[in-house]
Amino acid sequence: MAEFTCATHGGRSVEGVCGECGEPLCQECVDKVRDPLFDHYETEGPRRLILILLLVIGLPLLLNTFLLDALIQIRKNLIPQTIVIFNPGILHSSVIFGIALVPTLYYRTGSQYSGTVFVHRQATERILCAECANNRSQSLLYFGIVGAAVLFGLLGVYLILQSFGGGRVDLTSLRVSAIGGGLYVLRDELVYRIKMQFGKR
Amino acid sequence: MVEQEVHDTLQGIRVSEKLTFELEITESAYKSDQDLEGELQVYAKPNDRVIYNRRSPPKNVVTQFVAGGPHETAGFPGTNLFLALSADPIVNTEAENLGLEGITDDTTSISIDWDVDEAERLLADDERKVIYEDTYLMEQFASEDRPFVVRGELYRDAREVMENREHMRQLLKSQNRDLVSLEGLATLSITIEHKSNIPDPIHIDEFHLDMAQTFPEIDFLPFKDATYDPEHKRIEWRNRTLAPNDVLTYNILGPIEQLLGVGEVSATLKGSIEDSTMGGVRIEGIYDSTGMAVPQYPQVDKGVNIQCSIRMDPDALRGEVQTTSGSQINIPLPPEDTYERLINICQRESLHVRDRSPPSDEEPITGQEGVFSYASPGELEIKREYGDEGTVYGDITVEGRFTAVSQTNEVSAFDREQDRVIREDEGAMERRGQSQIDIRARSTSSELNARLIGIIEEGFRGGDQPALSGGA
Repeated sequence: MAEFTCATHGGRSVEGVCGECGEPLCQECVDKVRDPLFDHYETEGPRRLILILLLVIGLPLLLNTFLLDALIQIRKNLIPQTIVIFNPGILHSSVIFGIALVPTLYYRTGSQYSGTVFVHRQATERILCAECANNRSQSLLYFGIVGAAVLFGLLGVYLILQSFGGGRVDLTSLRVSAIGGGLYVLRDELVYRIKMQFGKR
Repeated sequence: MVEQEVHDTLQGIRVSEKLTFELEITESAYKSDQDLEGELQVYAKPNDRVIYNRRSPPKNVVTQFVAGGPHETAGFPGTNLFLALSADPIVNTEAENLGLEGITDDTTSISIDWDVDEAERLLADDERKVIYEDTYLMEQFASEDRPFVVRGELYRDAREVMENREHMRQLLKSQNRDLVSLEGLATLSITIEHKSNIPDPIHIDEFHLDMAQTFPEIDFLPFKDATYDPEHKRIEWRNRTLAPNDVLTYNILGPIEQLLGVGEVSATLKGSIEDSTMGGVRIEGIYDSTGMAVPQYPQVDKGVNIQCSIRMDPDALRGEVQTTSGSQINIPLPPEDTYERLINICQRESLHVRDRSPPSDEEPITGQEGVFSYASPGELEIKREYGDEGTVYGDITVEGRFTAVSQTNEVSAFDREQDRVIREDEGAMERRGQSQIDIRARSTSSELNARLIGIIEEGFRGGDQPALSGGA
C-alpha cells in the first residue's frame, strides 16, 4: 500500500487534506478557501445585536429627541448649512445597515448558563483541493455579490461627491452606500440561501 | 482552527489482530496453517455539547419566523473526519492473496453523528460507541512471516537434550532440577521460539495440553507454574513471556514407552503481542472537514491476539527420534589412500555407498615445506539396513596431510637425488601421510550407530600395520 503522501506531488509530506474529498495535500497544494456553505458559529452575537439596536433604534431616537432641541438652538445661532447630521440620509442609512445585519444574527435556546444566547454565523476557511474548489459555482455567486456591494458603495460616494457644491453637502445618497454595505454584510448569508434554494453545491 | 464537534467526541482508535495458527503433526500429516484477521475500530463518546448542538441548534432570527424551522448546514456541528491509514505489513505482501483487504483508500471518511436519545443514554452510562469498523484479512501467509515457531519433539534421552541446550539448562536451573534426575526419562517437548521479526515480546497467557492417556510417573517441566489435572488429563501453564529471540519449552517427562502411550496430544496456546501489529497498520493523520489535523490525537491501541492449536501424535514424532554417535580414527596413511581403503571396507562389508566425493584440491600447508593437505576433504555417505531394527546412516569425512613427493616415490625411486629429498620430507613429517576419519552415524538407536562405527573401525584394525605403500 502506498505511503501517505501528497496526491499530486508524491513523496511530499502531507500538510492537510481536502475537506471535501479527503485527498492528501502538501504545503504547496494546500489552498485555504473561505466557504460560505461551511458554517460555524461564533459568540460575538451579543455585540452584533447591540449594534443592530443602536443602528435601527438608538441613532434615530437620539437624533429625533435628545439632540433635537439642542441642535435647533445651534442651528439658529450658527451657519445652518454646515450641519449635515440632520440629513435624513444618515438616519436612513443607519436603519438600512442595521436591518441588513439582522439576518446574520442567530440565537440558540437552552444554553446551560444564560438561557438564550445570540451567536453569529460565519463562513469557514477550509482546505480544498483544486478540483473540489473549482467544482463550486458558489465562488462566482460570492464574487458577484461582493462586486455589487462595492459598486453600490462607490456609487453612493460618487453621488455624494456630485451633490457637493456651495459649501453644502447632501448626504441623501449615503443610502446607496448603505445598501452596498448591507449587501457586503449579507454576502455569506445570501450565497448560502441561494445555494440552498437551488440545490446544494 | 475552527472548533468542530468531532474534536472532542473522537475517543480512540483500536487496531486489533487475531492470528490463528494450526499445527498438526500426525502420522498422516505434518501441516501448519495461519491466518490473520485484522480489525480497525474507531470509538466515539458523546458529550454535553453533542446534545446541546442537537437540541438547540442555532436558529436564524429572521428565517426562524419567516421560513420556519431550523435549516440544515454543512459545517455545523462538524461531525466528519478523515482518517489516513497506511499499512506496512510484516508479512510479505507480494503474493496476491496477502493484501490488506479493506484498508485501501488514502483517507477514509468517517461520520461521527449522533442520535440525541442514544447520545443521552451513552452519556448517562459513560459509555463509548464503535462508530466505524473495518476489517482486513491476510490468509495463509508464509510460515516464515509468523512471529514465532512452534515445534513438537520427542527425545528418548531427556538428560542429553537438556544438557545440550542453553534455554533448557536455564529452565532446569530455575526449577531447581538437576540433570541426574532426568536420567532414564524421555521428553515430549513443545518449543515456542520468538523469531524477532517484531520487536515486542509475546505474552503467553495460557498454554494447556490435553492428552488421551496419562500415566502415574508423569512429570512436567517447568513444574512450578504448571497445574496438572489427572482427571481430565490436562496440564496447564499460565502467564509466561517470550522476549525476542527467546525460546520457551513445555515438557512432559516420563519413560519413553509411557510417553508414546499418551496418544494424541492437543495443545492450545492463547497469547498476545501488545503495541504491535503484523499488518503494520499506522494512523498517519486525522483531519476534520476543514482539512486540518484534529488538535487532539486520540488514543491508539494496537495488539495481536494469538490463538494457536497444536495437534500431535507422539507416535508420529517417533521417527524423528534419532541419536547421533560419532567416532574418530587416526590412520598413518595419506588421505587419498585412506579414502580408497574406506571404500574397500564398505564394499567388503556390504555397506551401501549413497554418495562419494574423494579428497581433492591439494594445497601446500604454509610453514611446512613439501607438506600438503586437501582443500575439500573426502566425503562418503553410507547406509546400512538392519532389518526390523532400523536403518543407520553414516557420514564420513576423511581429512589429513601428506608429502607430495611420497606419491611420486615409485616413479623416481632410482634417482639418488630425489631419494634424498623424499627422506628429507619424510623426516619433516615423520611419515608419508596422516589421515583422520570422522564418522557420524545416525539412527533411532545408539546401539545401531555403534554397530556401524564398529564395522568401519574393525575394517581398519584389520590392517593394523598400515606401512604398505599408497598405491597397493
